Parts: sequence; C-alpha cells; structure tokens
Amino acid sequence: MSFLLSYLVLATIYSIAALSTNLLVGIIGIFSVSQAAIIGVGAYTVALLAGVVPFPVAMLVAVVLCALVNVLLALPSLRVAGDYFVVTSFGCQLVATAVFINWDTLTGGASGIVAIPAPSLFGFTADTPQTFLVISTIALLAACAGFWLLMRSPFGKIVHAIREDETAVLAAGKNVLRAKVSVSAVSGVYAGLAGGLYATFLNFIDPPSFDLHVSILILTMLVVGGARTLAGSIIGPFLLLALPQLLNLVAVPPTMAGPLRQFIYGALLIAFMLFRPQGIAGRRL
Amino acid sequence: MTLEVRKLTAGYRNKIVITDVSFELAPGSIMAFFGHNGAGKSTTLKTILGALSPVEGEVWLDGERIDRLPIPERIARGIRYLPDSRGVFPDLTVEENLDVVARMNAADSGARIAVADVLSMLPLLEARRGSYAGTMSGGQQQMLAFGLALLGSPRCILLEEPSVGLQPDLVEMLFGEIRRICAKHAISAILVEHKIASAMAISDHVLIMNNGAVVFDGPPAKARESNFWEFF
Amino acid sequence: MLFLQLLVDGLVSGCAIGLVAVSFSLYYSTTRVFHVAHAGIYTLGGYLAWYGAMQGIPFAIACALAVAGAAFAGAVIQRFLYDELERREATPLVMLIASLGALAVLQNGVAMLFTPNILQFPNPWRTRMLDLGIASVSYAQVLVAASGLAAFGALMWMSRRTLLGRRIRAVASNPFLAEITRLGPRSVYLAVMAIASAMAALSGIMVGLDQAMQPYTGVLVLLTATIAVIAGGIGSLTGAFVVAVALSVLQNVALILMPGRWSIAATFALFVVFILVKPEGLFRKR
Repeated sequence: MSFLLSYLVLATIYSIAALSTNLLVGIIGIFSVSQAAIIGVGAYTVALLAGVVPFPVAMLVAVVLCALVNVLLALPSLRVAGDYFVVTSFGCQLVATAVFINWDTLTGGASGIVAIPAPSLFGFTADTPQTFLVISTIALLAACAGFWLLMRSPFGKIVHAIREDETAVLAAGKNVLRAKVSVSAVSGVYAGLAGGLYATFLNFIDPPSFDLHVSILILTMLVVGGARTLAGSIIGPFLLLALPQLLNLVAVPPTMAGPLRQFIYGALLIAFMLFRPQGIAGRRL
Repeated sequence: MTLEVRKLTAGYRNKIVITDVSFELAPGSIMAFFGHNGAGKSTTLKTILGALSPVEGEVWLDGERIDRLPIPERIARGIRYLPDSRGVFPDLTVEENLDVVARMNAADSGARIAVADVLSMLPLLEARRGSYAGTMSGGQQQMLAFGLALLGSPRCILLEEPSVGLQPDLVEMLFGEIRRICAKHAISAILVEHKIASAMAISDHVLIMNNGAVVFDGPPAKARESNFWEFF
Repeated sequence: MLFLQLLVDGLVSGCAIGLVAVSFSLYYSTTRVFHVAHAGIYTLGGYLAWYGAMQGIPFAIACALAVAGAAFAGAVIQRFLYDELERREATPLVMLIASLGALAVLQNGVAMLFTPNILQFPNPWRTRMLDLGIASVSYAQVLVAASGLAAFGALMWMSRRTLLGRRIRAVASNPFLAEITRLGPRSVYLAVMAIASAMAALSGIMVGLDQAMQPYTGVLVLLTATIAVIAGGIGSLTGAFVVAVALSVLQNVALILMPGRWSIAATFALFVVFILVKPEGLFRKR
C-alpha cells in the first residue's frame, strides 16, 4: 500500500517537473538537459532551510531562486543561436552536479543531506505518504491550473504565435523577449516546487538525484507523454515511473538495473522521435 | 526539340501554382522567361529540375520523358540549374569547384566539356582559378556558377535571375558569354530575368506567365509588340 | 618542475580532446546536426578496444578493430536515425532529442555489455615512463599525443587533397548545389559520420589507455570539445583543435591554483563569458 502511495507521490512530483520542462522545450522551443539541475537547486535550498525557517518560507525562497536561475540560464538562448544553447544547457547540468558534489561544506558532498524534516503547514505535518500525497496533489493541481492559465494568457498566446510565425509576431510589435522570459520564470517556479517537494518527501537528497540522467529521464517523460499539452506532462511521469517496477519483475542484477533503465529511456526517446514525435497526447514538436 | 513541356500542372503541398504550362525549346535556343513574382516561373523551373513533382503533365528531354526521374538522373541527362544566389561552393577555390563537379560526373556519356574547356571559354575564371569562390564578387561567382553548369554534357540550362546583384556591364558580359557558348555547343537555356531588355537581346523565344498560366509564347519581335507588358 | 610537467600533461590530453573537437566540428559543419551521441561513440571505442585487449589481441589490432566498430556504429546512427529523421523533415529540436536518446543507448549499452565500473587496460607497458628532461611521460601518453596529431594531420590532408575532402567541403558549404551537381550529399554525410566516429573512438581508446574508463565520462569530454569548437569558430578545424589543446593546457596548469574538480566549472564559466564577448569564435571562417 505505501509502495503504491509513494509511487503516486513521486509521479505527482515528476509531473510538476515535466510541466517545467514542457514550458521550456515544448512551449518556448528551447532544448534543455539541465532541468534536473534547477530542481536540484530547489531541493538543496529547501533541504538547507527546512530546519531553520518554516516550510512555506523555505519553499518560497526555493521557488524564487529557481525562477531566477532558470531565467538566467534561458537568457543566452534568446540571444545566441540554438546550438550554442545545447552546449550551455549541458554545461549547466554538469557544472551543477560538480557543485553539488564538491561544495561539500554546504551540500554534504557525495553523501548528500539526510534527515530533511517533513513539510508542516499550519501545524499539520505531512510525514506519511498519505498526507504527503494530499500536499503533492494540491501542488500538481495548482501547477496544472497555472499552466492552463498561462497558455491562455497574452504571454501564452504570443509564445504560441511565435511557433507559428516568429516574424509576424515581431512585426506586430509584440514583446517576444518578455513573453519568453515570463514563461521560463514560471518553468523555474515549477522546478523549485518539484525540488522542494522531492527533498521533503524522501527526507534525503544527494547529487545523483539531480544529475544528467535525471534530466534525460524528465525529458523522456515529456516526450513519451507528449510535449506542448497539459495531459502529456502527466501521462509521461505516471507511465515511466511504473517502468522500474516492471523491471523488478525481470531478474536483473542490481548493478545493471540503472543502466538498463537508462538504456530503455534512450530507446524510447529514439523511437518516439522517429515514429511519434508528438508523444502519446502531445502536439508536433 | 531539346526540351518539351506538356500541359504541366504543379505546385507545393495543397497549393497548385502552375496549370497547363506547355512550351518547346529548340537545340541551342535561349528562351527568356518573364512574369511578375509568384507568376510560376520558379515553380516551372523547379518542376523541370525535379525539385517538385508535377501533379499532371510531362517533361521530355531529347525525346526521353524525364518528369518521374530523381534530380541526379536528370542532371546526368543534361538538365542544369543555376539558383539565383549561392550557385557556387564558397569554401572551395574556383579550380576545386570545377574539379569536384567534373570528377563526380565523369561517368556520364556523350560529348564532354571538361574543366580545361570551361577555363578557356570563361577567361575570367582562368585568372582567378586559385581564389576561394566565397571571396569573389557577385559577377565572378555567377560566372563560376555558369561554368559549373557547362561541365559534362549540358543540354538545357535553367537560369534563375542570373543578373541579380550584378553591375550593368557585368550583366552584358555574362549574357554575351551565355549566348556565345550556348550557340556553339547547341545548349538550350531558359532565362528567368527581371532585366527584360538584356534578356530579350540574347533570346530567340519569349514566354510570359501570369497567375500560373502561359499568356504569351513567341519570338521576341512579336513580344515587343504585344500588350503583355502591363503585367510588369 | 611541476609547471612544466602539468604543461606537458595538458598538451598530451589536449591532443585527445582536440581529436574529439575536430571530429565533432567536421560532422557538425557538414550536416548541421548537433550530434551529442558522439560522446557515446567515444565511449564505445574505448570499451571495444579494452575488450579486444582483454581477449589477448595485440593492442594495435584491438585498436583498429575498435575504431572500425565505432565507425560502423556511427554509420548506423547516420543511416537509420539522422537520415530517417531528415526524410521526415524533423525539426532540429527533434533531431537533438533523438541524438540524446542515442547517447543514452550507447553509454548504457556499454555499461550493460561490459561494466558500469571503472576499467583499466591490461597492457603493462602503458605506464612505463619516458624521461624528456623537462618532464616525463608514459608510453600511453606518447601514444595519445602521436595518434591525436597524426589523425588531425591526416584529416587536414584528406580535406585539402582528396576528392572526398573536396566533396565534404562542398556539401558543407552548399548542400543544395551539391545535390544538383550530383556530389551525393547523403553518401558524404555517411562518410563524414564514419570518419568522425573513427576519430572519436581513437581518442576514447587512447584516453582509456592513458588513464581509465567509465561509461559516462564521454559527456564531459564532449562538453570541453564543443566549447573548443564554438570558441575556435564553427567550421574551422584548426581552430577547434588549437582551442581544445589550449583549454586542456589551461585546465592542467590551473591545477597549481585550484583543485581539479572545479576545472569543468571554470572552463564553462570562461566559455559563457567568451560567447557573450566574441560569439563568432577566435578563428573566423573564410
């Protein structure tokens, strides 16, 4: 039972992460393999502040910080040509991992941070999977509502129009830059939210929780579910998080489990790009 | 006839651009091809080249139907195409440009124009043979693009706005070379051009299109008297 | 002297990174596909050669087989992934995600076939040292430098002097014209991929011989290499090689001032400043 519950909690958290990536990759159309790094920034921030300040304050700081970092990282993509940004994105991810591992006085180095207190809100502490599921579901619903509203806001419409015809949007005198920055700020907020929830749910974080493989996992979730739609960002995580459980049914040596999982993610990315780039419930990338 | 275009209808996905276009081109003759932007000149050339497939109609070259062949097969049979810009390999020298195209097409049969022939026909290229094409002026690049089209056994050269960005004296010189070489080697040419007077001066034949259809087909003298100039 | 030793070490490993940079640059400037799976080919090469060496095959032959194997793997990716995607008119974003998928498949395929743990070549001579007076280098390091310089030289010669080299430069500079002059862009892409993959594999083998191998380190190498490609000026093979060597020397010499674990962060910070100041690269393309 608690096994199923923690699957559900993690799936809601990864859905928020997938929405964050969706805003960048699907909506603005910039490639990102550094979303795990941003989520990591949120997770470490909450983990470090959770015992010091009330949970909502820690969360707020994480969310604002992640929004700032995400905008900062997305900015070059608005200025330099597309492929430069691939390098920037890879670089950010690898540097973030290096920082998580090596700034050990702050991050606990390779052993990470343990005993992160469970979130408490108005005297109510979410220290069981049941109660946490309530919190993470509310967070996901809020994120979905935010995504839905953003897509219908003027910013969402501009960003959508840019996909159709960028020059026409520019010619119409719309502020393309501001729309893109706003969307990436919201993407950062989601990443911070996902990171904070992740840290307080598992009570433990370490650098591998936020490395390149996790970025690829989130991207795979998005691609399998389908980019550019709300449904896609939720279908993907729920499906892909079930995969490790399925693999448990096959006898795989423990050292091979990780590579096998990642191998399958890679194969899924290739297969979907070749045969169904819009994913299960998305739109054309 | 070198080239015969019969009742050609073509266009892009969901959009027919030209309908029922027919004309013929005699060996060694030059056809000036006029019409305003969007009239269908480029679409016609691209369909002859093979970059677009026709919805209906046929294209024949030297008595062989070619409209279902892929581009390289048509090139092998003597179709040549000069895009309106970027008709050369900028990172290669003049000599390398000619050499690479000549060697990759060396297996073709028929009367051959070799690199040395091109260099002697177009002395301007001989003088710049070691220069990188990307560093040359627009006129020199256009000359090289024409030189590339001459390699092998060209039968029909499709020229897309060759005078764009060239100074008037260079246009006269380039057109003079085109006239002289086409006549000498019995190569036909279709010349899509905005510089009407210059193009008419070297043409045997004028075709005018409007809204995807041929509205005039005849000799230059008759074209001058016609009232189709209102399109321009 | 520590400084000279670090300088020499930097030059040596720069030759290996330079090979990755040059091969990436060759492929990228010809096809405009940002081939991140190149890092996986680099890894694959090293592991194939290690496997051969473990079977008792002489190192040179194991090396040649591994290079051929990697070239073949690259050609498969070109033919069945990138060509297919291009035929379907995939956007650059879709190509990139597919390439990332290929990277994950290659790295984790290697991890599953061999081992996810750190490996070393069994050949005992690789650690034998050679005293150069100002610094000393291992036999493996000599091979790293020699193979890097030789492969770079061979590529430059091929590019300038052979028909294939001219075709590659022609296709890179004007793909449409290459199509209508029958230069065969498709087969050029395939050839370029095979050549680039062979070079990356050679680098992966030599670095594995000199140091050790792990399936996931290729990405870090590729990051440094792509930084060199951009900083060197896209399309300039010499620029990519020279900047890669310079970066490697810088990373090594900086060890005097700061621990090695920060070197990737420092390199990357330098890169970010660089693209803001001089986005066209050091070596301007002609």
